[in-house]
Amino acid sequence: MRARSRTKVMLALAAAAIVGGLAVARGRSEAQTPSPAPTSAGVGTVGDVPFDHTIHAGKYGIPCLDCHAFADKSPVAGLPSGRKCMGCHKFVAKEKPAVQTLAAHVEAGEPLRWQRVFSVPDFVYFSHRMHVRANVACAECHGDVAAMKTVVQQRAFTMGRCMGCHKERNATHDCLGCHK
Amino acid sequence: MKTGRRGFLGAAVGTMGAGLVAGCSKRLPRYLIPHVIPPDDAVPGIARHYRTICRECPASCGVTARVREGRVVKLEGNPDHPLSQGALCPRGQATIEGLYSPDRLGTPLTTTGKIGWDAAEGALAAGIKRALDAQKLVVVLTRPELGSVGALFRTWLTALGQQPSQVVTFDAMDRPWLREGARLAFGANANPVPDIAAAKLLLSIGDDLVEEGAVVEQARALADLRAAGGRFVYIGPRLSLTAAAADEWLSVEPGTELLLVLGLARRVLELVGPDAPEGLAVATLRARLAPYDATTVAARTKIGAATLERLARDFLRTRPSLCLGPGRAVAGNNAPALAEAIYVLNAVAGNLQRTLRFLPRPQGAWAGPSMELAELTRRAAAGEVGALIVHHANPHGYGPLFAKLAAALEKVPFVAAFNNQLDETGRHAHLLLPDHHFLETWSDATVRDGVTGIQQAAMIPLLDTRAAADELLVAARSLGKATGLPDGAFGDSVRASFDVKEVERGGKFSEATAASGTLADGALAGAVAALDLAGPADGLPLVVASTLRQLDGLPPTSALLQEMPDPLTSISWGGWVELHPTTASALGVVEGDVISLEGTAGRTELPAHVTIGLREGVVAVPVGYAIPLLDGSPPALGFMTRVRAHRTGAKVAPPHVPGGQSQHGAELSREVTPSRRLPMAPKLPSMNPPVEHPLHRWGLAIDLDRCNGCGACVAACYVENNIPIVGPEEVAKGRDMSWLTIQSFIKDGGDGAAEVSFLPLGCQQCENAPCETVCPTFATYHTKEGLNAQVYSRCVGTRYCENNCPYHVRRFNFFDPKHGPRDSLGLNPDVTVRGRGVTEKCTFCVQRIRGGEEKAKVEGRPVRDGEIVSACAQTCPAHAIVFGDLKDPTSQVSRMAKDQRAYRLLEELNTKPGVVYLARQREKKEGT
Amino acid sequence: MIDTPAAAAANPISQIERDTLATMTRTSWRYWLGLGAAASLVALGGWAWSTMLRQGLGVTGLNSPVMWGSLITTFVFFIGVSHSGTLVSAILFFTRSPLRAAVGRSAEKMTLVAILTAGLYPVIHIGRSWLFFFVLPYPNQRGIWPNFRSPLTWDVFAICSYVTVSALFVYMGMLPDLALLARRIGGWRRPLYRLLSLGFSGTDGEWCLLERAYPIFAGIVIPLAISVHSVVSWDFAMTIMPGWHSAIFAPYFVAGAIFSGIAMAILLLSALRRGYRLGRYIKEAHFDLLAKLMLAMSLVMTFVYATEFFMAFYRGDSTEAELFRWRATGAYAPIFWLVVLCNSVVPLVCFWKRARHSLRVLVVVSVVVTIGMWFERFLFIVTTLAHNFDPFAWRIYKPTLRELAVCLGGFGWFVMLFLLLIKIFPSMSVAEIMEGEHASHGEAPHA
Repeated sequence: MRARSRTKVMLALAAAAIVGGLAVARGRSEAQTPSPAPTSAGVGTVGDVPFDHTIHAGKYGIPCLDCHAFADKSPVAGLPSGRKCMGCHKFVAKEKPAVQTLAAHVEAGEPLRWQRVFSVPDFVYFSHRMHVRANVACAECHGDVAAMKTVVQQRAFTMGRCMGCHKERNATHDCLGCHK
Repeated sequence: MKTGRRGFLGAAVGTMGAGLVAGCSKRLPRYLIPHVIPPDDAVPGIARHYRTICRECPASCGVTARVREGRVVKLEGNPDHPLSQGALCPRGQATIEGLYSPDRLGTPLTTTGKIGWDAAEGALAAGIKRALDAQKLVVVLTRPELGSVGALFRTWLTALGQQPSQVVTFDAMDRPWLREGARLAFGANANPVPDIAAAKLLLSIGDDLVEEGAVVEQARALADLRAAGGRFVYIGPRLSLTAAAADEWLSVEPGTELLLVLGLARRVLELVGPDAPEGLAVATLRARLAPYDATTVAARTKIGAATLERLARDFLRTRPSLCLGPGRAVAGNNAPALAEAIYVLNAVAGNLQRTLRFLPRPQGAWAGPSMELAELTRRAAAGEVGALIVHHANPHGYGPLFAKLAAALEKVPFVAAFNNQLDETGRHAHLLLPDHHFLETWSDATVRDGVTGIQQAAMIPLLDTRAAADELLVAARSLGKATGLPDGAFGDSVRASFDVKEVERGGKFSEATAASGTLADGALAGAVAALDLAGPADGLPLVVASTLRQLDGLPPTSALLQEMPDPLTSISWGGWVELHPTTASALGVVEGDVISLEGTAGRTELPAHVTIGLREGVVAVPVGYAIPLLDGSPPALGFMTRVRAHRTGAKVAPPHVPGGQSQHGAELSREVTPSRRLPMAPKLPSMNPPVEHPLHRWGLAIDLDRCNGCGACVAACYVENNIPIVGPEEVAKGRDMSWLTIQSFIKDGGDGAAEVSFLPLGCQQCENAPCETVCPTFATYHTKEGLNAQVYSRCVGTRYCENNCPYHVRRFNFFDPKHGPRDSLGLNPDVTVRGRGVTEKCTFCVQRIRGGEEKAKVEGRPVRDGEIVSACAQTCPAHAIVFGDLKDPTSQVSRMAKDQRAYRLLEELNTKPGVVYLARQREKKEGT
Repeated sequence: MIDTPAAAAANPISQIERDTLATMTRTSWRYWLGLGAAASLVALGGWAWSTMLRQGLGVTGLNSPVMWGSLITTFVFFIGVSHSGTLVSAILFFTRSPLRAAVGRSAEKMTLVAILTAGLYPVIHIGRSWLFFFVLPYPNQRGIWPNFRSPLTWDVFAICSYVTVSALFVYMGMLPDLALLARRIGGWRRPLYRLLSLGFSGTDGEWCLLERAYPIFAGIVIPLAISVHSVVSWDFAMTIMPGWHSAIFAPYFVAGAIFSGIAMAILLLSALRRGYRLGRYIKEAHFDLLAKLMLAMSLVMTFVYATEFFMAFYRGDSTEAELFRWRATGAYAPIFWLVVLCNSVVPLVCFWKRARHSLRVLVVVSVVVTIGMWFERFLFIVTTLAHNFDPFAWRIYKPTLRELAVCLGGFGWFVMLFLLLIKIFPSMSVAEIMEGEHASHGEAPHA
């Protein structure tokens, strides 16, 4: 009898292991891949000019494409040039020390170095232009940047995430759409 | 420095603004650096195109430079330029290797070492001043400069109080005998220009139109001529690419070409009888041609009276005909006489003004009398030259060929050399000034009357280089002798001489105004010199074979051009010596034996390539590798000398495609004759479900009748698709990565004349692709647009697909890929760089397809036919390759697919390829 | 059936036990020597593999078009070796052959070990082995699955299921022995056997269950064994390559597999027999039977070779005809004739009874056949790739030393695992041997 019961236990355990394993695998796949450690962003490190999206995009509601001007005409969104910054800051918030440092840099012709936050792997070709044309809101991938003092990538750009959205909107499923 | 494509982009950020969010990896720079003040029309991620010219050879074809983030990533033909008409040769495609070469000079050098620019400019001025003070000559030794730079040299010399004629042009591949022959035949200032496409019968006396001269234009003209039903006969000792493109290849006893031509001229003159072209001094010509009756000529040339008669009759009957030459392969010490005879033959057959038109010599401040090399040699040796400015010329690099000149230059107290890299002449110079690459600086070139291409600076100079022209100006100014010289930068003056439209088109292009010319009375008056060869009497005549990879006469330095197999021999990396089987067996030589060749000038060792594409009793060596054998007696690089050949006992496996060049009955590259059509394509059932192509079915049509195997498509593919370069050892192992290869097959076409057929072979993009079903990971699959996709990031490398591909067009990265000089900055950012262990292959340039589709989508219209072009189709000089949508019945590609010459490879396997071949047309020998 | 240790001494059965458990109890210097040799081979192969992982597959002799070489050859070979074990054992089981008791267990072990060896090679072969999981069907957020049209994917399933079933088959057969061992063997192994024996205590009920379950597995094993090798053959038969694309491939592979498997079995059994003086149990009869089987398979192989050539020329397909002409006369002709000699000629000696009964002769023949079968796999894989549709892509392939080192490593791995297994588990079914003995004494096996 003892033997029998032990057999049952063994079998039960084995079954549990298999089922559990599958469940974990499945769950793992469903689960959102954890977001990477917050990377501070928008801080020019040359003479460290602080930049805050909450002020520009949030408080003053400047549209993304005003500064990231290429997002609708090129695969890459682009960053504002020093001259573009000064376009406003010649008049706006002149007295702020940060703006004065910025002005100094642009005057001296020193470019600002923006820290990279978002990226996809080498073998992926992402075109901002086509996504903007398809009315994908910037926030859908980049999160509510307007509310971030320092921009953080909250959800990693995984293929699962791309595919999810492409399925939803019935966009292309052709591998060559992104891998070439 | 070793950075991949992403490193390239990283660097690009610095110059061309921000926004590399698309596509990143760990190796990416951590920072994005936008411009402080961006160029107005620059959009990062979108390519810009600049019209300029290619300066790899004097032909100076018009090109379009594709620029991404401030870096030139590819050259393409300029569609508006009369020479290129959108096409480009392999050499031009390989240009950007030179641009990004790690060997490029970044700082001026003196004999003692690196110096700053201020010091260098001082030294240059000082050197010139010493020469002037010593009442010595200042001479400029330059590569051919048919434009502003050439003009500047002259004005500069004038400003220095020198003669403007003290500009010496150095071009090892120059063919002076053609000019000399024209002078003899038509008088001093006649400028005969052949119009190949206008001819119905083309007779080339060893003139390799596909390999030398304005190859792009000539290849196109040749293809057009044959497409229009014209015949092309090639007479020369070696079956060159040009001969392979011909309908008939004949060879005569080496050195008797002159006799043949004179014999033809005489026979034609007899046949033409009363209706001889007016203005032709028939009587005198008859008298002068008298000695060359058919029997003697046939006997001496060993061509057979019947063939001679046939050629003469054809040449007269199928007018307008055209005879061209002599080419390097037959140009001996009597080359001018031969050229003259050829012109006379044309005149007699009445081809003047029809296929042989006279154009005014291109005008311009750069033209005019100039010192010959010989004179420079003499005066330099005599110590009359006080300062020499060398401009992209490398006489020291040619060994014995220019030994006299090199020795003379030792006597010049001050030699300043402008160049991109440190070459032999640079080593002998007192001052070496790094010049911009031609893609970084301004100039122009007038290749013929009415065709002036502009050379634009397509990108900011990579290194701390300075334009040679500007340096000369600076020197002149510092010497206070700037009268008549432009004030500002040289580039600005060039730019100012073109208006916006012209800059956009790439130059000033207008119809040439025809001039007139007639046969001079003195034609054929001169004594006809028989050709005699230097070297040991018991030696074999050496044929110097011109190849596309060696336009400057030196062995190729570009990794790409060396890795790309020579289309005829399919040998890559290094030289070879060609032998006819009988010659080889006489020497006891087999393929791959290392042969030692001894000429008058010196000796060299090369592996043997045994081929029936060569006349018995001669040896042929590609021009770059023949140099050690030739002493510089004129014509320097020509049919000059005999060489003793014997085997050294050593053996190498020449890195080339195995399996020989026979098709072994497999009808891959097919041919049709008027009598023999292609068999019907078999109708085979398929168990696979029919493949749906809702929108497009991209396809390629390759006309084997136009293809001349030049390999421009291969080079373009390498550059466009970031194809790795593996080096000689790996190529020898059969691991070359080329997505597109030119397979050449050679067979005996009867009576000893070999026939070559080519097969440009890339992925066939099959509908029933054998590779797709076997891949376990779906890394390869069939797209809705008929592409046989290859997803690199999904490939694990089972190599099952390679096994199951009946065309063997898939490639595997056995090691971490390298890309030669382009590894630093020159890779195409639109194409993934594949890693080790990944299978890759032709994708029909999917990046271009996607680009075109996106563009059309943004503009809200369907894709137009011809809007999307694969790199190979775009660059093909002969327009043999056409890319397009097979679903669109009006597209050119589907029209070609319906041609009765159309067939697909290995149809019996029912793979349903998306690549259509049009069979080569062969005629019967008995002309038209 | 298990009686108390006290009585054991007097009991002749304990003698049987001692013999049958000899492989586990006695460890001679020969054993250590063999194990050492095998282990060092494994080390060598491991090093060679590591160079492939670090530098890339360029260190192999592979090229375009010969993209598969000695590694895949070794894979196919060991799949073949794996074949005979369980199959033979199961067949003998159904035929209720008295011969099974002595040889069945080792044969099954051989199967298990061989397939574990074979499984390594596809992983090594892809070069970036860490990506092998791409071919496994596992749920993932990308929604990507393997290509179920690809024979390689079928391989994965076929081999996995074959491993599982074979393992269970062996295990089930061993249950009573494990229970016995849990009593007989002391030291660290006892708890292991306790656990594995699942509390089997030899009650009638347990025996009934066992007797009912065992045939089921035996029944599954036979078709599975056939299918596994058919599937592996389809890796080749499903392509369009001349010399591969042929309907005969499945039976041809199965025959070849049994052929090489038998040879390997003979080698292992004769080793056991000599090493542990088990002549009393592993008798001439066994070897005679195996030899006959080997002879039969040899004849089948000869027939297949003949058929292949006949079809090649009969079909009138120029490519295939050219291939087979080249196979027999081209660069690989020496290998071809070696194969013919090893697989078709030498085994014919088994026609003679004296040969079948001389262990020495059989061992030699088996070695020859093993060599022959490896080269046979090599031959048909490489020649087809080296010489098919496109003359311009005809190229010779020579394996490099590192490749061969990896292959040898496989043989080392195979022997090593086998040696370890016979140390841990009995190589003969104690229970069945006793059954046999009792039966001969006219007793019920378990009273």
